[in-house]
Amino acid sequence: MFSYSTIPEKSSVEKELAERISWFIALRWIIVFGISLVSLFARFIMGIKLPITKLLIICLCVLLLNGIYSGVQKRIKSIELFANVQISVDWIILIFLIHYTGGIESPMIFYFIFHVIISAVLLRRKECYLQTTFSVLLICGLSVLEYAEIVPHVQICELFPMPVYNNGVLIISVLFFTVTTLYVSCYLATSITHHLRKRENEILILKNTVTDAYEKLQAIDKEKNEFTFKVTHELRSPLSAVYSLLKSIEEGYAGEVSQKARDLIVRSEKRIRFLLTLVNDLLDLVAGRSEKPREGEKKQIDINDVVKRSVLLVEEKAKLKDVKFVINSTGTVSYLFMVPDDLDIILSNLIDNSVKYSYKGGTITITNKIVNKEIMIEISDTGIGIHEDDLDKIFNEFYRAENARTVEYEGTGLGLSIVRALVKKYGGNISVTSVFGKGATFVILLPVG
Amino acid sequence: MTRKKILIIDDDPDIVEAMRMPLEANSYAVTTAKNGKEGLQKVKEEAPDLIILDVMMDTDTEGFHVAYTLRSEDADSEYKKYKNIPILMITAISGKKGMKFLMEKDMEYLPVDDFIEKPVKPKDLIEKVAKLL
Repeated sequence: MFSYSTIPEKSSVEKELAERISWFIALRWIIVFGISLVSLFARFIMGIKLPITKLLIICLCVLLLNGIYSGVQKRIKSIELFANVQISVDWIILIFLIHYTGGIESPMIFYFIFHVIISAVLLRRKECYLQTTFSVLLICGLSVLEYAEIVPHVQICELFPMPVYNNGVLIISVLFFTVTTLYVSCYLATSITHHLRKRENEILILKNTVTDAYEKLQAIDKEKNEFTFKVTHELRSPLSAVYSLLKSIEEGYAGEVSQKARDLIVRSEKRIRFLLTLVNDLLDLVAGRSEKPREGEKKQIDINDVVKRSVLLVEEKAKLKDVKFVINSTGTVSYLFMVPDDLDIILSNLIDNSVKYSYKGGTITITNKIVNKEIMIEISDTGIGIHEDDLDKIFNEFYRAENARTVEYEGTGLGLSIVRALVKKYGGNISVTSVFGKGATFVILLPVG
Repeated sequence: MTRKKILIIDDDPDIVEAMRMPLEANSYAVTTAKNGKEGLQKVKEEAPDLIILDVMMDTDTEGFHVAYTLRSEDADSEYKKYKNIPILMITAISGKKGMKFLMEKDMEYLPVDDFIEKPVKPKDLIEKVAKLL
């Protein structure tokens, strides 16, 4: 399904190659520095006869080249070609170094393996094989030229009192092992990097797919919410108009109204009032379900203020039923960061419910405190309670428990859904406990931030 | 005594009618405009004693712009003369949110004198209008 040729985001793959090349250039500084030091050490401390001037000149050339590489790397268009050129030039330099350190006898011959591995990291598999072949040709060429004495052999080490560059059997065996080592290294290294790259691409494709899907989902959700918002808004205008007109008629501004007609008008008004509440609740629900609040929209909200406001809204209703409020604030922190109005909607819904479902003379206790760095708000009443079977259903849209319907015939069944949606929007949690017939307790946990 | 003149700026003819009936019954002279532009024009022509202003008309915030235009602090404002006409704003209050716009001078400050909730109840309307005039 995923082949290496389908690079989903060329730019990011190229970006990574560029990063690897920077790393390669940095590595080269260190290697050149190391070779210069080792050469000087071998020549002057160990007394090994080395053409030190030539070696240092080569090192200087490499330093110069590397300076050019790092200078132009930002402006290079074809980054792959750039990598190939660098590696090829490195082989040539390496072959000179090997020549001046004893040709086939040079211990630097092992450096070829490093370079094969580096090629595997930087290049595609085919290119890496080509580069390896190039290096093999260089080594073989040098050996042959030295053997044929077209190129003079540099004898460096007393470890080899008898020069071996002209020993055909030795050359063949050294070349055989070197060449096989290089190709095997090439195979191993490219296999690993090829596999890694494939995985990397798969992850990239996967990441893009997931991001796409997520963005699409968000767009759909946003569209849905906007649609619902528009629809409910459009519904509200005519309902408002009808209600306003009926109210004018009822109050006699359009002429004498018979008692019978007035009764009918009042009934119509009641139904429209309910529809308006439903539309308003739907608007709140959509607002609650919309995307996470942006930090900029949040403000510091004083919980005690919101509690006071919410209680004020139901004061009249509570007085009629002789319901008392007990408000405890034991938290040292009594504020939250939320979008203004959201906590008002949450608390006024819950407090309105507890008044609605209280018995005459009941008590509603509102407590807020800090529990484990979260704000806990508890609203407890001594009302009709919720039946065990209804406990996990009351947060569902439009669900109304049987005993609730008996007490209050009208109700949209959306209040608790709105509350839950809003609490969840802030990463909070809401739970309920109840003794049927004796009261219910709603507990909200909200993060402070 | 001359009758006080009230200008209603609202795009919903039924809401306008619902307000006109009780206002006229209470001896106010009512004149109407169906959008912000027409409303501002009528302010200049008729110099009303009170303006009743809807928020959402052709655009979602047209009413706000009318209010800001009328109450502009700009010394060259062509509405300078009308700056002190009281404005009663009609708001559709959503759910249990309560008063959404505050009259204090903060980010949500609106240069109006009072608010009335939509759907309009005649009794409320008459009370608020009487208070402002």
